[in-house]
Parts: sequence; C-alpha cells; structure tokens
Amino acid sequence: MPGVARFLAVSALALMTVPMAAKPAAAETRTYVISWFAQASYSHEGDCPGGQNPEIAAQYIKNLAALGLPPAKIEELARKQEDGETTELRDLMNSRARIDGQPANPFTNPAAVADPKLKAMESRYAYGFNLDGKGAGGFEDPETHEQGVNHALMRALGCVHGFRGTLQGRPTYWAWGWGQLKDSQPAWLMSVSADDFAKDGPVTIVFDRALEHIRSNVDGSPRAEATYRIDPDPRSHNEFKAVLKGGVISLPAPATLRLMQNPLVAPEVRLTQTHFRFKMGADGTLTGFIGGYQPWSDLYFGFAAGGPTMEICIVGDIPGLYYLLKRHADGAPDPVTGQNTAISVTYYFETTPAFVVSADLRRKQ
Amino acid sequence: MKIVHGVCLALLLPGAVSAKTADVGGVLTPPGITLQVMGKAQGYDLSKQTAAFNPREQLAFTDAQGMTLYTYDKDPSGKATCGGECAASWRPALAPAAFKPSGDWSVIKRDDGARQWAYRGKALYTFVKDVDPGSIGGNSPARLGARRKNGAGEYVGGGVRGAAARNAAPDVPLAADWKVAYAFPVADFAAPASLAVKEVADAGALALVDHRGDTLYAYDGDAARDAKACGRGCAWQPVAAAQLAEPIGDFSLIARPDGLKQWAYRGRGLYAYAHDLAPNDANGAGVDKRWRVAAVSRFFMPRGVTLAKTLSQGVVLATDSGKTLYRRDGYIFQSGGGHSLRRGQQPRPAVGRDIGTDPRCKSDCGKWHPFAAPKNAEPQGFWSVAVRDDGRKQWVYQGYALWTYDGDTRPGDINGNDVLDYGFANQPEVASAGALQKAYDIGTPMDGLPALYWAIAVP
Repeated sequence: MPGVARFLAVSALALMTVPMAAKPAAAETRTYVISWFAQASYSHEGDCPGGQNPEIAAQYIKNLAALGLPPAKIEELARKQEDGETTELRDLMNSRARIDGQPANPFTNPAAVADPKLKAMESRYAYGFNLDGKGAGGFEDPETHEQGVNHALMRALGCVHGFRGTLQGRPTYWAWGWGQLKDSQPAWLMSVSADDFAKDGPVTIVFDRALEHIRSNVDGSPRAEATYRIDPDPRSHNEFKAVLKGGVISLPAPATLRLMQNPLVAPEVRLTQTHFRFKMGADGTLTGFIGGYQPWSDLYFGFAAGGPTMEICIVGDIPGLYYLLKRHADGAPDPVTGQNTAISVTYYFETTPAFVVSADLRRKQ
Repeated sequence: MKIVHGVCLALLLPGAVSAKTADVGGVLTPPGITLQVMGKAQGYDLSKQTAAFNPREQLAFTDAQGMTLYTYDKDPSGKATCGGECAASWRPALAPAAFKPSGDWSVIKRDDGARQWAYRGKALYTFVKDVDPGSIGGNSPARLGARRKNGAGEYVGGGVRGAAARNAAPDVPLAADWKVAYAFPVADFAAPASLAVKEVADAGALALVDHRGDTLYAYDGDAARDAKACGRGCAWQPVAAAQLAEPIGDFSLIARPDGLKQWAYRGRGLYAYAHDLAPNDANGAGVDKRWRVAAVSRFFMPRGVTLAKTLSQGVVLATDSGKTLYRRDGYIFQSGGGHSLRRGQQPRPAVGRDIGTDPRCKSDCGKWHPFAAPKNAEPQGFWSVAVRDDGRKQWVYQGYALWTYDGDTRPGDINGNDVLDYGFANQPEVASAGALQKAYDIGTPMDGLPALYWAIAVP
C-alpha cells in the first residue's frame, strides 16, 4: 500500500489506536514497528591501541596463570582441551571464582574472580548525547559532532570483539540477540504525530509493545505494512513531547523510557535521562538514536545468564565484562557505596512502516 | 515446602468457570489423587527448544506428593497381590478412610486391613525409587535441570544440556509387569474414527476433539432444531458423521433435517466452534450456556479459581475476582529465544517444590500476595497445598505456589509477568554473593547467572 494510503488508513483506525491516540487528534500519525535495535557502535581502526582484548582461548590461558598454574601445566591443559581429550581447562574456567579459597561459579560471583583488566576503547568518537551537560571527558558524536557525549558502554565494550561494529556492520552480540528474539519476542511499536510533518514544530512520540512479534518476509527482512496490536500492559507505554526541526526529531527535556524486552539480552530496556534523535526519510522510513543511563546489571545479566556457552561463543570473558561495566559506569551512584549503578548508552534503531491498532477495544467501549 | 496430604474431609466443588465450560464429564481425580505432566513436556531440558513446542502428550495419576502411580499386571481386578518383598519396592498407595468409591475410583482392602487406591479396579502403587514428581521407575526428568537436591536428599542435575544430555545414560527400563497409571491418553475409549479425546487445557478438561484437533462442544438442546437457537451467522458447526456411520460407545447419531447425520455424545449433539482457530482453543466456552465443552472428564479446580482470557498470552488461571495467578520460577536461558511465548517455559514441578513459598523477592515485593487456600484444602488434580511458615495454607499448581499481584487491576491483566530478580551481588563482599547464588540458583539448567522471575500460571 502506498505510504499516503497507509496514513489515511491509519487515520481511519484512529479510534482503535487508543493508547497512541489518546491525545487530541493530530493531523497525521505515522506508525512503525522497530525492526532493528542495538547499541550504536562506532568501532574503527586505532580505537584500541595495541589491539583488542584477547580471544577467549588466549584469555583462558591468562586466567589459568592468574590462578597460579605453572606454564607447563597450562600448556598441557590447553593441548588436551584443543584435542578434545579432556575438558579440564573448561572446568577450571567454569569454577575460577574463589570464595573463602574454594572454587565457585565465576558468572554468578564475578567479584570473586581476579579482575582480568580487559582494556577499554580509546577513541574520540561515539554516537550519543551529552547526558550530564558536561563538556569534558565525553566523546564527539561522529554525525552531529556534539561534544561531551556520554556513551560509556562504548568505552567499556569497544575493545571486546563480540561488541565491535558499526551501524551497518552489526556487532556480533547484538546481531545474535536480535536474530534469536525477533521471531518470538513481542515487537516494539512507535508512532509519531504532528500537525504537519513538512513544517518544524511539536510532535508526539509514543513507544509501545505489541502483542505480536515482528513479521518477516521469506528472506527474514522485516515485512512492511503488517498490522500489530498494542499490548495494554502499561509497563511498556511511553509518550514524549518532542520537537521536529529540519527533519530531525529530538527531545527538548530528558525523560525516562521503559520497554519490556527478553532476558536473553536484558529483561527490559530502562533508561533515565533519555535523549533521542530520529530522522524521517522521504521513503517513509524512520531511523534514530536513543540514549540514556541504563542499569548495567541488566546488561550483565544478558551476558552472564548463558554462562560458559555465552562466554566461549559470543561475549568473551564474562567476569572481565563485569569489571569493565563497573569501572566505566557513570550514572546513578549508590547512595551508600557511591558505586555507579547505571552506565550511559546509545542505541541505534531502524523501523518499518506498520499498522498499529488497539487490542483492547472491548474495554474502551 | 510441606505438601499437605491427609484425610479427605469433603469433595471440593469445582470453580465457577469450569462449571460453566466443561460439565459434561465428571472430575478426573478424587481428593488425594493428583496429576503430573510426563515426559519432555515437563520442560526440564529445553536446550534450544521452547517448551511451547513440547506438547503435553501424557498425564499420569500421582499421589498427594506428586509421585507416579503404577498398576501391576499380575493383580486381578479388585485385588492387590504385591506384598512382602514386592511391597518394599512397590508401596501401596493408601486411600484416606473417608473416601467412598466414586466413578472409576475405588478402594481395595489389603490383607493387613489397609485401604489401597484402585483405578478401574486395578490397585495403585508408588515406586520407592521415585523421588521427584513425574519420575518413572526411578528415573527423574528433573535430573536434566539445575544441580539440586532431589526428594531423597541426593544431589542431581547440574547443567546437563545439549550433547551432554543426549549422551547421558539412558533411563533404567520400568520393571516388567508394571505400568504407569496414565490419565491421558485415555485407555479403552470407544469413539468414532474421526474423533478423539485430548487435553484441552484452556477448558480444564479432557475433551472431545475432531479430526483437526479442534475442541468440540455438546449442545443441551435438540440438535435437529438448532437453527433457531443458533441464529444468523451461527458459529456452531455440527460435527458431521459419515452416512454409513454406526453408533459406538457413548456416541450416537442424530438425523438432521438437512439430511446430514451428526455425532452426539451421551445424547448431546456435537459441534465445533468457528472461532476456535487452533487445537486447545476453547473460545466457545461461556459464549452460550447451551453449548459446553464436550468434556470426557474435568480437571479439579478449587473454589475461587477461574480461567481468564488475556490479550497476549491466552487463558490463565485467575481468582474469581479476576486477578491473574502467578508462579515464581527459575529462569531458563534459552539460546533459541521463545521465553516470551505462551508456555515458553513450562512448569517443572520439582523446581516449584524447591522454590516453595519463599519468593526470594527483591523488587515490588509488597505487591505480591500468596494465594491462600482454605484450612481444609487437599491435593487434587494439578493442585496441591503448601503450608507457609506462619501456618497459613497456599495453593500450589503444578508444583508451584501461586501468587497475586497488586499491579493487576482488571481481569486479564498480566502486568506482573516476566519481572526478574538476579542472583548476583554488585559488591566485593563475595561471601554474600555466594549466598545469593545459593538462594537464586534454582531451576536454572545452565552454569550462568541465575534469576527468579514471576510467570503467569497457565492451565
């Protein structure tokens, strides 16, 4: 269906789009399903001086040394693991935490593992926003050239192979998560309402969760113009008053955002000091960035719940990630310990035009 | 968790919705007899699968503690012959003194005077090596789950998944002459070739289904004159029989005015409902009181419990005031996704037993309330009873204590679903982190970071 027709049809469904159309009727409402969502990565040559952090096999050798094993024993264990003779090396790694001197699970007890001191990214650039209002110490956004950008998650994970990538060259971890979840996780919906999208002025942005997962074409790409029902669960309903200027939508004042997700990546996306920047394309697409402070424990859970399988296959040394997150966390200090409990993050998302209807008609009648 | 078992004081009446939707058949189990889902559908070993794709193909009769009940081939009807050394391994399942025979259930008086349960005349036993609900012949499916103490106090499990699970030692075969007492599949049920009995969980019943697996409904009126009752745009579709079909068992034939023959069950015309779109749907339940789910037998439902429809997750258990019921469960890492699906993670009774009535809650704890059971509540069907530390009783469904959430304000709300609490501590006091792991590492069949979460109770 051509874009204009879709918007007319959406207008006809206006009474049904209850949560998204609870405000005075706008001249036009455009609705989308989010069809890609991941950390906004900007990995590039030279951002990890001296190279990236070791691949997991090499890191395990370092970890064995940290446990005090002699080089000859480490070499023997590595050879036997490589040959499939024993799993002793892996068993040691799966119990490399020490509690009262006794082996313990390192994923559950990362603080009981010696910090492997994984290196952080050193770069001038990262996508995002100046969340704290300070200019010093932040990144420069490679697109807007805003200074003082807070995106500490990029600094923390930017030299870990599974998290390196660009907007187009998608990072392994996020691509894996999205690929696993898109066919079962309820989709996220978005609506943008304005009096006239051709003019600068106020717009209303609404995020909701759908009852359906994203619909795909046979090649796996997101299907355009599919219909989604809004989940009435209030936990994922977010409404923002934003501003459209020069084709870019931004948020004049920070807000909070909450979207239920899936524990495979993080149980939910919870952001404070939320900023965003969206571009509406002439072809009906909308892409953008959302930034804010996120509890880093939510991210750590996504890395660590899979235990050794995740460590070996995707994310690398999990206690090492714990220390990176903790060290670079830059928001929401714990009032008692002073430890920051949140980390600044920027997500990049793409959308696909969609019909959005209320699932809750009977309750509204 | 202390499971209550004891004397039957009264036959508890079914809940309001089950009475509306499935009252053709009687209650499947008497008080003191419970049901367990068997096999893969117990959901202990999900690997890359989601439980949503593990159909519940077997239901076994179990005792008040959820232990599998068996029959002995050498027992003649109405007599229990397994005594002495045999009875040391195969223990008679004893019925309470107050139980009076009803339907398929009776009591056999043993030589020592004990009263032993019997189903369809066959004496019932438990096996001494069964220690987890749903075990068969001493083999527990729960061994595939997290490392935990089983009912005998031995450590079992511990992340046996994937290739390791596939290469695990095979189950020890069940001893010759002994059989599991299955409630489903239903044995010796005479039915037309095009019809069958299946579990229709959304109706809380074992019910008739057609050749597509769609739920059937029995009509209380005169099927030959259903056109007027059904009205325009009628959604009730008569179940047609072949012209040469013959009555069989409880099934008879109705000659309709249009010349078609229609199947009837126990004298009531059978219909499919046009708005049932998939097997296990029971969308016609409660639509018109004259059409009811054609239940062969119903699952016990306590007074005060109903079935409620949600927008995203289908039918859930709810209180009679419409509050959704939840269980507290250990999160399973499913690398293939699927956690968000209905039945994305099925109840694992041994895990529910381990969690008990302490939710180990970190967030919003004051908004969660135990779903109280009356003082005289007894285990029956999928339901059992836990005694809380303060002596109050709490209903348990398929092994899990049940809860309500203050954040649900309207029937069908599931606003507490899928909230996680992690089992790791963000501080250097590693000893307390270890304690936290111990508290949360329940039912997570990986070695990764464990979590407990709230999940809707799905029938």
